[in-house]
Amino acid sequence: MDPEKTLQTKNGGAEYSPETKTPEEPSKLNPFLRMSIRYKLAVPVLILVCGIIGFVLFTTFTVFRDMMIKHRESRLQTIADIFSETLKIPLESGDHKALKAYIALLAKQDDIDEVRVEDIHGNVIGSSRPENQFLPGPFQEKGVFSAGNSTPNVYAAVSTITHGKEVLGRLVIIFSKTEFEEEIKMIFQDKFLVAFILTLIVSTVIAWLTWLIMRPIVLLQRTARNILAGDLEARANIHSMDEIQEVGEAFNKVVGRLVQSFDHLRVRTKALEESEEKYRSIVSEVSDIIFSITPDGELMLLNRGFSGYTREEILAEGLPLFFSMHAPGETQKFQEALETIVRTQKPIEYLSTKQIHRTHHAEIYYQTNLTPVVDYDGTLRLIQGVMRDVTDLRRIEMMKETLVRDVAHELKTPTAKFIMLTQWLEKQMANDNERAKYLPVIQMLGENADRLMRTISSIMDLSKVESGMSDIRKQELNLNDLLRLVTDDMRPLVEQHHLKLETAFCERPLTIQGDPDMLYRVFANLVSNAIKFTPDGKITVTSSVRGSDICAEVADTGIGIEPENLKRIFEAFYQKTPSTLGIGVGLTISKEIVSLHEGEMWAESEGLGRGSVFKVIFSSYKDLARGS
Amino acid sequence: MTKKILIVEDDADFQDIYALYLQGESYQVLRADNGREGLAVLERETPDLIILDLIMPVMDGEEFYVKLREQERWRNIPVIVASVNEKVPPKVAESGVVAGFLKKPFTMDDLVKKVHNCLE
Repeated sequence: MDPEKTLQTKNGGAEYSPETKTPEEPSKLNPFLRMSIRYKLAVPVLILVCGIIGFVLFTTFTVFRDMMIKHRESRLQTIADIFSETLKIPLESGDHKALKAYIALLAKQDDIDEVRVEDIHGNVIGSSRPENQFLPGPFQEKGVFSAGNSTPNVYAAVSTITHGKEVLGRLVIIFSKTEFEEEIKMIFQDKFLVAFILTLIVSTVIAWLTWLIMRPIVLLQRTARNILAGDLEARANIHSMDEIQEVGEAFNKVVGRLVQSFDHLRVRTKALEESEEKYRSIVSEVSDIIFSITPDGELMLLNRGFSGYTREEILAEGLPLFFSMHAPGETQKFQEALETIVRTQKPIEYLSTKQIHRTHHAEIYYQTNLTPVVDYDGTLRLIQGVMRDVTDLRRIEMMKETLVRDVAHELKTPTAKFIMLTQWLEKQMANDNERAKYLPVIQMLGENADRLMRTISSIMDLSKVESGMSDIRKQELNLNDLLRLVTDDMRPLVEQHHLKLETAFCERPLTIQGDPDMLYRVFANLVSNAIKFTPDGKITVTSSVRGSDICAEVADTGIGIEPENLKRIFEAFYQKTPSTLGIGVGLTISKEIVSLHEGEMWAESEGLGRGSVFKVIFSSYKDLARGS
Repeated sequence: MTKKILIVEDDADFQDIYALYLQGESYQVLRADNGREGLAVLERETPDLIILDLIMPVMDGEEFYVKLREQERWRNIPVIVASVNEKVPPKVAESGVVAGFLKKPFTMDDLVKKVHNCLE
């Protein structure tokens, strides 16, 4: 991450952290039922290990114990058998004294508690502990001859005393101090301890292994939490060299990408907010009136009041009030413009309207630009309007026009007299041989007077056209009809100059919205220019459709135009040859008229002596065709 | 007999210029500075043609023309209107036929041609 981005993250982190904007979604897990993976792994393994160790130990213990007991019992039995052999002699001889001595001898053994001898009927005939009448459970039965333990730590061995085939009695030996179980236990206790320690070690190892595996996941989890808490710089640094490290790297990459997008979004949001703020302040500060109208005719937005009405009043009353503020006849103009824009979805520029001020009833002139706001699917969403108060401008313009007209008019009369007088002088001198030498001077005077007169006329023309621009009256017309009218009217003049006039019109009607008088003027001017600048040859007037454009051309075989002058010829008062041919305002006026019809006009020429072509294009053919 | 032409024109220069040309063509020229003077001249003399300006002080060309055509004795005098106006005003056209119209500025050849047309 580059430093700039980091800085942005720091600046914006708190403001846009998901925690503040969108509260952290609570985990769907019940915290009590939630079980960490580490326990899931460790507990069963631990139980399994403990169980296996316990089982092995226990099994070994019981087997060993059983073996020991069996061995012990057989030893006891052997002892009992040997004793019963020994006791046979005193018993047979009935020597009680000897019997007692034997019994006492036997009882001296460490682990023997009692030695008892019973006769065939079960009567005790000799005992090391005569006071003890008790015999443990199973040994009370007369027929039992075996060894075994009755109660814990009490073992007994029973053996018959026989002489030949005659049973004399039985010998019962009770071992009370046999503690071999303890011994075994003692032996096994060490083993248990070892097993326990082993289990502990195993558990620790398992816990450590689990931790080793789990740590990256925990780290990942913690990082995710930190990011959620707003620390967009948090990254999971996992070096486990396994799949989890890959997961962590992927996670970091995803987070990085997200943070980057988030940064972009934030920067863009900020820019958007700033631009919105800027736009808002501009809209509220500008002196122009800005408004939006929906296609249904609802006034949506208005930045200020005008014509003596407050913004709130106009917004509350909507379009009806808006319309009623116009001077009589002007409402329709505005309404028509709106309808046209709904139909054609093309912007309308420089719409001039007149309103009457609410209180002082003065006329206020507005120039309005209407722009359609069209959705991606082509439906009109809004009409944006910018209305400018041009009253002052118009007043100045009118003053200028009046001044120009008056000055021109005042110049015109003396100039006319000047011309008339020079003409008279010229005539007199032509008839007077003596004064004929002054004739060129008078002619020069006359030519300049003529030129002055033409200049004055041009200025008046231009001024008239400019003032008439706002009164342009467009209607649906067929350009072919208009061109036909122009060529028919101009044909006599063309033929007078011994030129040919050819026409080639498009077969289909070329419908445009235009002011017929103004457009007539344009094409008549072009043809008359062609006549002026074509010494011989022909003039061709054509019309055609190119894509969505309607084209009209006036071509001649005349003197042509130098490349550097192709644009200059449209400048006011430019003229081809200064003295003889008219003052160049015709093309200026024509170009102005064409641009009022959303058209373009230009000249093409291959150079001097190679003729010229004047082309006019109206580029709104498609919509007008749909409109018609 | 020399034909008489009445010039009703407030601009003395134009009077002189018209006179220069017309006298050059051997016509007799009568002059009036406005409509009222024109009518006064008509009381004394009967011209063969009137050259009339429209915009004049005291009595303008329109009023003069209307009054001229009201009188039986002057009804047939041809009138050439020479004015800065674009065309003959409706009031003038309604009152009687105008022999010719010249929009100022015009060339003197045009005037002389029109005068000849009217008088021959």
